[in-house]
Amino acid sequence: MPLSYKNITSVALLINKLFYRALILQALLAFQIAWAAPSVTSEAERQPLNTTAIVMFVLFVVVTIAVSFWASKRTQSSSDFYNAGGNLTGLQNGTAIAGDFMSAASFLGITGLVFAFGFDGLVFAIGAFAGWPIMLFLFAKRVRNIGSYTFTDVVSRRLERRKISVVTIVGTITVVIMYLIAQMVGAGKLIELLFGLPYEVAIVTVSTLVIVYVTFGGMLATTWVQIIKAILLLLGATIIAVLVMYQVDFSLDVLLQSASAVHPKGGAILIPGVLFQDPIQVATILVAMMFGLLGLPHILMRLFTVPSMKEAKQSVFYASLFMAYFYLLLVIIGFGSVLFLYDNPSVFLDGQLIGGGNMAAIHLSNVLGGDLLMGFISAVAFATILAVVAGLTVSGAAAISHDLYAGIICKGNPDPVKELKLTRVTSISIGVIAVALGILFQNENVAFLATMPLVVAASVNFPILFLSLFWSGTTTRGAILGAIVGLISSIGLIVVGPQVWVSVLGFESPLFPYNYPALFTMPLAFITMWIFSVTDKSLQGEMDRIAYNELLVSSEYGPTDNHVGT
Amino acid sequence: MENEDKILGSIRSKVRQRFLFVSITVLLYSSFVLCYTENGQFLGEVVGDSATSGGLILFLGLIVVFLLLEYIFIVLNKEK
Repeated sequence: MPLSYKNITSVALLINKLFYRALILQALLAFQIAWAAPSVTSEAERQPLNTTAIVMFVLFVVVTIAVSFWASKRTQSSSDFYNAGGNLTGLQNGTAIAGDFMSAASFLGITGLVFAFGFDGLVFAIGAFAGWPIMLFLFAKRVRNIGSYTFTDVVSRRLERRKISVVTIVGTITVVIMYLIAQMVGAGKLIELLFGLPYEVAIVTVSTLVIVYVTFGGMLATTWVQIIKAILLLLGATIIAVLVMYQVDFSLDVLLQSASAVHPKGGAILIPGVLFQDPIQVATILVAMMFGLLGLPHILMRLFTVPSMKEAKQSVFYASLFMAYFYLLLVIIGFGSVLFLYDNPSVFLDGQLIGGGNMAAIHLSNVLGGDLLMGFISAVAFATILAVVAGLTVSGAAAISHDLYAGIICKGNPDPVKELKLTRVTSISIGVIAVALGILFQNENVAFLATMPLVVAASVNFPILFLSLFWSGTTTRGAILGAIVGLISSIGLIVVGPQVWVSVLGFESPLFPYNYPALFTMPLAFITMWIFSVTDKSLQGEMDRIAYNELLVSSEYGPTDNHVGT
Repeated sequence: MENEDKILGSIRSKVRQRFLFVSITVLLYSSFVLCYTENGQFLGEVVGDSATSGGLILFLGLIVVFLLLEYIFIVLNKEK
């Protein structure tokens, strides 16, 4: 059967009906599992039902669902869905970007690492922050000026749209799915611990709520969920940090000295070397985190939600301000958790922190602020996952409905109503797929799952985006081959690295010694792109090179000023 | 034609400025790896009688410097 408008729409409508049923089934399943006997992890791991946390979380859900219904009335077109109509202010978008990026992994993960290893945990904090200045210097203005909704729009501006779109869609979907799996598995485990809810209930709840936000309110609802979450997270982190500093007379030196006095590693936690000794290992993490951020499709997509290049730059600056503040707070919270938890036997079971290292921030909130603060922080952690998953869902839906359906199948002329319908169907599909993958991968190592998207984004999306914007010699052939090499090498090296080869597959030693191979795979992608671009003598290659000057002007002055000849 | 060259020349100078900021950022960022090398031994020691290590000062300093660089970049490129 030939692929036509009519066929696609009929299939889309059928899928729509099926997925609405699936959504209802998901909700029923959530209730069913909630009342059934829990069976996912041992009772020693799972916390008792945390009523305060659940009440606070329900409040958050009520507010955000109200926001979604308000947003749904303003989401009438695909444009509204993808970029919230492009009318957000720099401050709103900056807060939402911070909300999108400051994940539970940052808050709970980095605190847990500082709790266990001291200073070395901060490698991940500097890695998570340092990509933002580069985002401002290189991409904020240029990406905003050239693109419309997705990063595929940007790279296809001068490269052959259909061919390069296939690669960027694969890159986007790979990153989104990997990120989604990591978030869903993390969410399931975390919520099980924080709320005392079974794993399946946790991921079905996350997925159902995200489907409601995204399907009804699109990017506008997602933005406000992210803004609310960012404010709550910063508020919660500030309260914990102030309570920690109050206990040590607001002296960082007293905090560090007291923390090193109670930690089993003593003064070693104040200096580098407890977790990492190999500088190459540290470099691999730093490269993957900095350049991975620059290739994350759901982050790049946020640059299109503001009306001007000025607001785009302000967005990134505000986002950086919030994140700088947040990562500085994590120093206090991390060392505070060392000080207040290591000599507190009630948070340990069989010599291990109850719930694992990721629970350090939660236990700290309980020690400092009792059930109320712990409930608040737990609810914030849940909200954090919702906000990140919502951003990923919008990005994945845009890749399918805008890049694939509108851009490739309809050759840039889709029926707007059908496109919007397909976008909503895709969002629901992603939600259902997220639940399935969350259940399928529930026993996998979350750290490994979280590694993949950053490495792939740094090795596939970032090189294409950077070279298409800054090197006139880039051709479609070079970009495609470089991206393929980046994708295969990054996934291949991750598989033979310690996280998969040893931890998952059970081999004795890894074939490749590092978990974050972007230090090697990103240059490999760049070199491949360069070689296959300079040797490209095709007509398309010539057209790609000629189109650069026009792109240069458009990216600098905006789409209305692109009058410089080619 | 002359106008086009002028516009492209001005854009290229802006691109050079972008790359300068990127280079400074990446260079400073890479300095964090020094904490784990023999050359950066001073970063692995606490400063004076305090409990603050050179590495922690570098961490805090980098975040502040990155923010400053962003601010300077925005001021230099204020849209008219």
